Amino acid sequence: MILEAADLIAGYNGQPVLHKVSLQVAAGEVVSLLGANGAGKSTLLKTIIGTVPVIQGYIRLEGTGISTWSPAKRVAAGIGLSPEGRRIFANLSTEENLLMGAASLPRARKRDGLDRAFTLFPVLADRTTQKAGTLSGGEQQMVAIARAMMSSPKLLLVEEPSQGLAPVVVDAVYATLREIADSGVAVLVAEQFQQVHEDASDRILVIDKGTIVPDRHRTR
Amino acid sequence: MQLDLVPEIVVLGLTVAALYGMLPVAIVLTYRISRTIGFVHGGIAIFGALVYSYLVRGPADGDAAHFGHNDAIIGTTPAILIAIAAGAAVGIGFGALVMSRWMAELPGMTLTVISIAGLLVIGNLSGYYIRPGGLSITPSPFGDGGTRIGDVVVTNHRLAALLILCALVAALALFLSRTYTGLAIRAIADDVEASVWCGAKLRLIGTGVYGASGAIAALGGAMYAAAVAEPVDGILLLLVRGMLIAVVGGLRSLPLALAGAVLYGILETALVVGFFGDVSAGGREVTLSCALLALIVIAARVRKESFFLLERRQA
Repeated sequence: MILEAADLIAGYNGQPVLHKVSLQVAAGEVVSLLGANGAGKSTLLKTIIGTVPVIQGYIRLEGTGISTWSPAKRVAAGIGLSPEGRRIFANLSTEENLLMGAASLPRARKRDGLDRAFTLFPVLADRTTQKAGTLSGGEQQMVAIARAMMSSPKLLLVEEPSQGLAPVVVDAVYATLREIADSGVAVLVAEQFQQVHEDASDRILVIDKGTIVPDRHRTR
Repeated sequence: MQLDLVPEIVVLGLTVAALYGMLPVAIVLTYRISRTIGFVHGGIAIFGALVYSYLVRGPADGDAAHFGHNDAIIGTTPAILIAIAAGAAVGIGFGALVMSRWMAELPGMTLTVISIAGLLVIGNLSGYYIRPGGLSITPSPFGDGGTRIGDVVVTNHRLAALLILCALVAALALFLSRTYTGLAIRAIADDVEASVWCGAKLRLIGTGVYGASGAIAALGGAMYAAAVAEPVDGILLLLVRGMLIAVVGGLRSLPLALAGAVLYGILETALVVGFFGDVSAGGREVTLSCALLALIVIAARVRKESFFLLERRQA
């Protein structure tokens, strides 16, 4: 199992937002996490990457406890996050955005990461020097996912990848996420209810008020 | 207007700009990391000025007969290096404090107040404990001589300050554009949280940037101390001017901050030498401030930012 979280309580300033959340994601699996605004999707992903502190419970990556690790250490250990709203570095070029995703890699392996990113999203190879803030929404989403993939993560966290994109672009993004999962990466996608891509998901979890709703799990 | 004064104004103005330009460089660097204005650099500049002066003039011993004697503890070159290193150490200490997990997430305004507190604490403690004596004027690490540029003689000290500032800005521009740490600094300036998600070591990088900017502020203070008789009071004015100059570049651009310093230096020199006729000291300050304000607005327009440094929404 790549990701295991059990009885996870986490939140801001000691105030819990997640209440005893447990979930597992295996290698090669795409798990969709559905929930309304404020349900706790974003907090869960930020807890896994390490910017929201764990109050109780644990997170394990390939069996190793990472609950107290810094975000940098978690990224180096194999977690990548493509955040809500893309959050690309608008004033940096496409290539610089991607290289930022490889911060934890030794210099020699950064170039491999770029090659991998351009294989996943060939259109980005033609945009290397373009400021990322001037890319289209779809291209910015590609940069966000490719950036998260730069460090060869074992676990890819993707937050609302379809937000603000045309349906045809969303299909392409999900096809790429499927491709990434098929290469052995565990993928956890957080989405709004109306944006769910059931065909691309192996399992669907529903989160509400900071808790995974047990009777609403679905498996493809 | 006396047009024959123009070459002199330009040459001398550039050397004045060099003294004004170092603090804005430090302010821009730390703003990129913390999004707060580095008032603390004024304190570090005072500290650097006093450490350097103390080392090259010796301690004040209260003996009036001793006044004017050279009691140098060490030479000017090692002294300025020690002042820079001490400034870096203070910068690292302050950076470690404000980048710590207890402080890093405080609101920007709170951190700005902490920076002002840093200015007051470091400046006052330095003034209280580090009292240079001996010579009335702090000697320059670049000697007393001068260099003729055209018809204008410039002191080696001011010329060196100009060369150091240009080299510093060029080196920083190269560092920021060519290294991964520089890339991370620019990314942090764009989006702190997203850079952390990418694995950037925010505390380490932030503390390092505070260390580097502390070294630059101390260098600026030491260079200023060797150019004027009463550096401590002057540095506070230098800090205020440095902040205005840093705002020219939106607190983010080193080249624009340098341009602001050049404009300021040349205009101030023009006013002082009487290019625009006889202008009072107050009139000079008003003219200089208005000119900088105009430059800030023009630079913001060119950079497509609002006056208050917020990015304009893209159409």
